[in-house]
Amino acid sequence: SLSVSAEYPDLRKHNNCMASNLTPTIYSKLCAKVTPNGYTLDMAIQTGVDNPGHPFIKTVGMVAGDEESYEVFADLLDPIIKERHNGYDPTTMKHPTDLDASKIHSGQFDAKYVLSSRVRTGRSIRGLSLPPACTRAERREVERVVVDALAGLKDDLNGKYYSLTQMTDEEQQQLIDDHFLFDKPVSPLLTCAGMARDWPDARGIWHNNEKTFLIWINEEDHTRVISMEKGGNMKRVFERFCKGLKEVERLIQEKGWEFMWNERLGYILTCPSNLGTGLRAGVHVKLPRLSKDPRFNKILDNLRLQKRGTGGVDTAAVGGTFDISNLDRLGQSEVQLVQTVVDGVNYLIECEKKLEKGQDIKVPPPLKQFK
Amino acid sequence: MKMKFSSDKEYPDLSKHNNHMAKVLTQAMYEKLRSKQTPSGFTLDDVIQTGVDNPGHPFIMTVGCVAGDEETYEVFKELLDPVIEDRHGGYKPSDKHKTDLNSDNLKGGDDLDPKYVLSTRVRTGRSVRGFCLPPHCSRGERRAVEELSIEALASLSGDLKGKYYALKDMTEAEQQQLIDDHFLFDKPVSPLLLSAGMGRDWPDARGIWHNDNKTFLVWVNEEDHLRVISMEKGGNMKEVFKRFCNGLTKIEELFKERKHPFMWNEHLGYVLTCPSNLGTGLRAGVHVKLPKISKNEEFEDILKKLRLQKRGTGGVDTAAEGGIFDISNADRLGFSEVELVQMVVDGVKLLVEMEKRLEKNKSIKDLIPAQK
Repeated sequence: SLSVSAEYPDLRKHNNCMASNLTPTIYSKLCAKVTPNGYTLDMAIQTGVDNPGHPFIKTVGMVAGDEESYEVFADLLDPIIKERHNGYDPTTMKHPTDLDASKIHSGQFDAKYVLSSRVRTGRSIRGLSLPPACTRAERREVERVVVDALAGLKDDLNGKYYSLTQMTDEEQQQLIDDHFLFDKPVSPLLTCAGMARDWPDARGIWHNNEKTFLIWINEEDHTRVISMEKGGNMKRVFERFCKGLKEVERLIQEKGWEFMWNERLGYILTCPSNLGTGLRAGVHVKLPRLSKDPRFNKILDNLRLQKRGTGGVDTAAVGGTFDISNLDRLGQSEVQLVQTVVDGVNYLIECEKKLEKGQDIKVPPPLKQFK
Repeated sequence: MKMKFSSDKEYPDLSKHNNHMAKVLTQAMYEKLRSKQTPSGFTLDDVIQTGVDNPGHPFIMTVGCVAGDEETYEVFKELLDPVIEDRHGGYKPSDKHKTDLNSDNLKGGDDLDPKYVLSTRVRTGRSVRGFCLPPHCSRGERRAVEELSIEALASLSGDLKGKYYALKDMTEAEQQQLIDDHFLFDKPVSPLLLSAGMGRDWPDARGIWHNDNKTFLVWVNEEDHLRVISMEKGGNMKEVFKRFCNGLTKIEELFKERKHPFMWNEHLGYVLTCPSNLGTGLRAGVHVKLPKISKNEEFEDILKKLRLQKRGTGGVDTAAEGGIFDISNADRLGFSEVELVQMVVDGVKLLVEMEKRLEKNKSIKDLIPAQK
């Protein structure tokens, strides 16, 4: 076989976390290693090699093919995680998990400003490879295990599964109208990592009858879990989120399965950017005046918040309505992050109200990153 | 090898598929072949991934499987032999393929009417023995193929003397010139190719070589290790084919000298990534003005009888513009290079004659050929 230097990728035009952290020494150390599922370094970094990145947006450039990737390729993943998660050091720190929604206070926003509230995360099934590396049988097993557990959800969580391969035209149209349907990934960041293989086999959507709790199966992760409603009751959205997650966990444990989790990295997901809580809690909020204030971005930064357009990541805001959510994922618990969003959005609304009355606003002091 | 789950749990759902792989791969065959791999580690799932991901089109039958190395055609012959037989007009596992790159054996071909035949082109592919093919090669292997190619092409002389342009190093001016010459190839966008892993590490070790006269062009590491193209304006297929054979033979010698001959065997001829390109890998074609005959109800049938294929002037999967068609040989395997080019020469001559008849409102009935 050819020498290590012959195989080293040309990353001179690249701008992503993998390219910033990979060195010939690290490559040399890891290139012959294999996870128990046969996943290699070249496979893990393929997406970062194929997608040089953007001068303004720094992508991660590496994925995990299985839980063990985070151990076997730790020499590269640890510095990537530290860079991406603003200094969280997986070699020394522990990640807190807290899904006790009762701890959230002031979690009901002024509905004149907050149009909708949403919390999402992901969960992986331990023992089965992740979307970049899973075989068809593993992917089908993820579907079987999760759908089986979801069938056990009751009351306000009682719902139905729609397999992408079997849904009727009517079901498909309804899911589109509800904005629940996901389609085959087109982003080269995902397709280069092999996540669209065998589409649409073993992919599907589950949601409760009330359409406030939704699960995507085998899209970018084994599962993506979403709780949402119109209006500003973030507390209730988070309560349902925690209740649903804990119920599903209990149901899979009954059958001998568990979620991938460890105290170093929290919940294990495909992309290193989603480690820890994997949580994005956000609102669609009307901030027409504040968003035009030159201090808007600084305020968001200090509150550890992120803005997006209302179409999600990489979209533009429409009519002064923004998607505002937490920046952080790892190093703080779910409760801490949701409280950060609650406090932050309340502050933003106060700013907007002040500006309506012609009063001045203040830039809040920056929040500490790791609490 | 991932053998944790039984083969019936791994077997792909091909119920909505229409490609050669899906027609052939039964659950029993999957069970038998799924534990195998080539010496370089290419598996059945790797072979068929593109066919699983791309169900196909009701009208166009794609192949749905690729080779990751030369040994794929041996290790997975139970799948690939019937695919080859179906795709290549009944070519049997016991059949032998004839290679003939002696352009002297071509009769005529220097007299296609330039009022109708606008341009002429012959292309093929070659794979370098000892390296994995584009779906499976590592960066190091791809770079080694590039290095060998640059070395071999650098020693061409006379009318074949030329220059190599690496995709990742070319200047803006060079890039624009290659675009204007219609030589530049870009990262594949077709999911048929991307699902097979052929876009990996782009544009590393990819490049274009052409002679100073711009009549002989080599693509390095696009869909195959090498794609070799000879072309010129007008209808002198004899000259185009002569240069093609000349250039290929010289290049083949140079690779042999460097102990990396081309992949070839007497059953499959030249071995390429896609089973559809085995044998000669040759597509000899012209851009020809056939506005009247192309509207004739017998056009498709005539092409079939002549063993020819039509495409738009943008290449595969494009539409014809202004009655100008790309006409080329339909076959690749089971006929020699000379035989295939002869079919194109004779066939295009006949089509032009038919066009001229129709211009004069005369009948073409007596010109309709028998099935070749």
